[in-house]
Amino acid sequence: MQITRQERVGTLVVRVGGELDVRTAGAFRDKVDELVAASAQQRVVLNLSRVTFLDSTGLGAILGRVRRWKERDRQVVLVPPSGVARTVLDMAALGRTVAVYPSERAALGEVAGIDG
Amino acid sequence: MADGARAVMSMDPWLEMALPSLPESAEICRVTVAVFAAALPFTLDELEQLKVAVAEAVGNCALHAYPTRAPGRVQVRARLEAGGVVVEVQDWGVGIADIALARQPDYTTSPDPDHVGMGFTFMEQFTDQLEVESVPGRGTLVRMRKEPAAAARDRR
Ligand SMILES: Nc1ncnc2c1ncn2[C@@H]1O[C@H](COP(=O)(O)OP(=O)(O)OP(=O)(O)O)[C@@H](O)[C@H]1O
Ligand SMILES: [Mg+2]
Repeated sequence: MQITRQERVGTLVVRVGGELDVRTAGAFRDKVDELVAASAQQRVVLNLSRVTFLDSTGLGAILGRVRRWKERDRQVVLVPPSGVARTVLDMAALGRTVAVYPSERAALGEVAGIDG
Repeated sequence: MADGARAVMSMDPWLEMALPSLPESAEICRVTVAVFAAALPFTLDELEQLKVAVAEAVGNCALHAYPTRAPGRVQVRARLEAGGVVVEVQDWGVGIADIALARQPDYTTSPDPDHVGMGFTFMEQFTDQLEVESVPGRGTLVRMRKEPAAAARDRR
């Protein structure tokens, strides 16, 4: 699992790649929570487009992050993985609780557009 | 069944693994079973679905089967049978009292709010057949069967 971040004006981009599963979910949770806590940006783009494998534990960790960051008044948007990992994410009806964008660029454009 | 037929069936390839009930085992098993099942004409997406299903079953052994004496033993068997793959994941842990309830989407006994209770739902969604046998205090056996969609289409 790889996690990188990029600070932009008003937005923190967190990019996750590799396998997000019962083995790596704990490390994912700790690392991205730390990145978000350390960032002053109000908006968070969680880019999962390079996630190659997702199981229910990984899914739960993603849902948990979205919930937690929203509770801390962050605006969270998500870029999903592709293939079966996308199907796993979609089965959680995640679209109801968080905005999902087809790409990081779209997410950044839309996020910026929200408060003009 | 005639003895001859049984002899031929016993030539079907099979796979057996015994592992500790640890998260790493979920990864080892999903990859190994997918490589084994790739002898059948599965698409890459179907193999990924199989990986998720196997990861869920083995992951459950790591998370739930042996709460007080982890790690315990997990056994995974796979065989190619009648154009599909049958995977069995077995543990000798605490078992499941109400299997129908456990299989419900969003049902979990985990106190961790990050556990969504979708494991059985994914096993069900990503395979063609899911059977769960369990005896409280004795253990759990999960059996899944998956067939390449192309093979099922050709037969019709
Ligand atoms: N091998 C097992 N041994 C004992 N109990 C099990 C086993 N597998 C599943 N269970 C029980 O069934 C419940 C539902 O399992 P399921 O995989 O659907 O969800 P979960 O593991 O709780 O959460 P998630 O899979 O979403 O992380 C578990 O909470 C647990 O109580
Ligand atoms: Mg589970």
